[in-house]
Amino acid sequence: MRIHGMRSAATASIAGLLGSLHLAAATVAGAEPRTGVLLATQADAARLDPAATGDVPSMMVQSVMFEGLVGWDREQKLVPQLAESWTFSDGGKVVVFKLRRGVRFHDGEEFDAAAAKVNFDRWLDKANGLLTLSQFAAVDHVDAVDKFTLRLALKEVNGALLQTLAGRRAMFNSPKALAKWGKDINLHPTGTGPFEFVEWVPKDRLTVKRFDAYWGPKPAIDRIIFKPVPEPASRVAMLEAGDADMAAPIPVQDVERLKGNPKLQVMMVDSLDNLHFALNMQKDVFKDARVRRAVNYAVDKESIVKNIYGGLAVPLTKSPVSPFLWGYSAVGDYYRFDPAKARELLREAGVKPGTKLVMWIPDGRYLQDRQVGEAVAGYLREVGFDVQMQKMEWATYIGRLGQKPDPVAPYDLAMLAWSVGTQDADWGLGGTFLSTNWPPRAFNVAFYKSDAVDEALAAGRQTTDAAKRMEAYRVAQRQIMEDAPWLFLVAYKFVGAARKELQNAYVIPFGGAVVKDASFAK
Amino acid sequence: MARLIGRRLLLLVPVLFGILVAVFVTMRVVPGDPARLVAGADAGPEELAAVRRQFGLDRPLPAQFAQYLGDVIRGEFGRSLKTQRPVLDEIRPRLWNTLTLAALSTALASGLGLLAGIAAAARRHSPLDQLTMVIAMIGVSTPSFYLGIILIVVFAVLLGLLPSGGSGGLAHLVLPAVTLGASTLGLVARMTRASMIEVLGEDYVRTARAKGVAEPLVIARHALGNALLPVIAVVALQFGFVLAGSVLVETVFSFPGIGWLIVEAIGMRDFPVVQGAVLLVTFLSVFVNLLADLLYGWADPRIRY
Repeated sequence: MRIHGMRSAATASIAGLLGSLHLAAATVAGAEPRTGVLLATQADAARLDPAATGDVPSMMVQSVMFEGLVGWDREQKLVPQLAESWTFSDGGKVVVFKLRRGVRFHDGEEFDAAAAKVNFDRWLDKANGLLTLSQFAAVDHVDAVDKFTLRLALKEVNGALLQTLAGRRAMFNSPKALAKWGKDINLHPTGTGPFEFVEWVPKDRLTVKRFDAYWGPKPAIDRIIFKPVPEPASRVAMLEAGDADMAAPIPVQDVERLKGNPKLQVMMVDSLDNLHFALNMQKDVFKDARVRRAVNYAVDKESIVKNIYGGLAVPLTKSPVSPFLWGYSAVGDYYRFDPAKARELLREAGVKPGTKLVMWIPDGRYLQDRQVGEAVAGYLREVGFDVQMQKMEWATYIGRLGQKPDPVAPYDLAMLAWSVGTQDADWGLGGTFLSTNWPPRAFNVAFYKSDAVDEALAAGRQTTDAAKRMEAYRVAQRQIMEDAPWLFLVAYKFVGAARKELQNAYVIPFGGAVVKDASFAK
Repeated sequence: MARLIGRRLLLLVPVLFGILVAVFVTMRVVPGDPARLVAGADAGPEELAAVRRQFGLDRPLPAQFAQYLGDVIRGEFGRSLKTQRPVLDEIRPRLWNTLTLAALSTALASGLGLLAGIAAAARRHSPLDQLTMVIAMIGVSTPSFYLGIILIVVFAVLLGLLPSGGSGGLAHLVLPAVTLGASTLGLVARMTRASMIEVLGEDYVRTARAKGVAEPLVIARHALGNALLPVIAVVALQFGFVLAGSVLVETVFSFPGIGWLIVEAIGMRDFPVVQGAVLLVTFLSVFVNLLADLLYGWADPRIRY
């Protein structure tokens, strides 16, 4: 009896100790109204220099600290940011920006045309090896006309210039900080955004605080902590346990449960990711357009949306790209599920039952990628193909896919989702459909070549007239849907979830969450 | 003893060199281009070339290896391709986190495992024995990522007693340490029980009991000391597994340790980080095994080096 009593007392005191440790932390945070946001993300930032950044988690962190000439609003419309207005002249080869006055960098320096020029010159200097090089290949030189007027002279017209400027890499660092930190500017972000950098403990947290001298509306929250939580189940648990204020992305299978939680809200948006299989047109089987169309008829995209994404996706039946890409047009209603028609087309094309197809899939890169791969393989087997799936880890996958074919790429179908930071059809379509963009140059991994598409994309690039550009991309999208170089699948939604009282927090099509304008309801 | 230590430390040199070559070659033989991964899928060829040049990846492999070897000998591990921080700055804080976690979980597991094993052996075939062995079995056979998620759901989401993940203070260490230690605990309990039962049947234990030594003293003084040897071996070997296991556990608990670092660095083909971290972990494993050998000498006076 005594022993038993002692043991339970010991258990109780251990539980009590642990409880008090945790409660102590909780009450410190809970004693006053919440003023900071802890955002659980998928991965840690890689870099804090926008011009050297290629990943979404880094861009998400940078977007609260940095600004460019142009930005995106919540509806993904282009809006003036550090430029108040701009005018094109010389047929689009010269663009003059009037800059916003009274803008300060986090180190107190003033933002003006000279500061902007320092940044542009840095981005364009080949010796710096930044990721802005080909994005701004069209820029010849940049001049500060006067203190608040910046002039870009282009080598050739670039219709996507504004989108590229808003494309998350062209954001300004303080020239003083650039000079002071040199190559280490990556660890000392000094922008003009509403939040300034506090500390970065890699893989643990990255903290920013409200920038009091911000030119625009002051944020309601005083602090954002970005916390990398790679395991999706743990990310969701963190939110449910109240350890995080917001979490994104949320796995499909947890969405319904979180919707039922009265303390939480679920938010979602159509992503820019257009999940598809490129059909390798170097292979005899896919040289025939009838076979490519047959493959599209053979797969029930509606069912994939319903059963694999729980309804949280849209089928790509109207265009090869997501509705959020600038230049998107619904060009028709293509390839409704029709296995009988698929078989008929295959017979016409003389494809024998049992024809082997090698299917490449990156395992765990895209939302539900493996499940979609299995489903598609099943549908293709139904119409008589012998499908062999090959799954690869992402680094291997993208490495092999981006290789120069020798002489023919080894896959018949390869899964990809092409999402571009510029959110513009120029690279959004060009990167995967221009005949000049076969690997290793870019990711036209279907080895598609259409003069009509090449011409349309060139036309879209060579004008700054939005209506003319839209028309050019509409022509390209229709031609692509007709030619079917891809097995078009879905654009899935990005899902985030947050405490109910967190207002004005949202997720964006490019991936990631935006909390800079958020506030807590009383 | 000094000779043993000296010999072992000398042996470290070829071991580390072998590991270095193996990691260097493996990382470059597997497909995947760090420049592409850093620059992003939508980067153009000009950017890729610039990034490769910046990292020195455009140079021939033997030249890259020679450069790296020279750097390592001087104590330079290069910079992460991903974050551009010095590799040692990437590794140091996380290695400390992982070591704390590994030490706590090993201590917890071997302490509790020993107690459970002793109790089970002392009350052989009793319900206590059977219960302990069932729990030990569950501990050994439950995959750690699954156990981790279950613990998070129960202790963080449902009971709200412990944080669901991250680092900072003792409370954050409890769930990962338990998860990480579960299989070691089970193993130690079973080893201790088997070893104790064997020793309890020995003549000198019967003698001790016959001359009237109280049972707790028989167990503590006469049996345990002799039963400890195989347990030390298991614990030392398990330490390597604990370091390996931290890969999964750290990801589940978003605990900023070296396991998570290595996995992510492999995924990014971040050559310098993988090389540096693997070298350090190898060094540690060898070191812990040396420590175990020294402990044998302490536990068993017959062993002399």
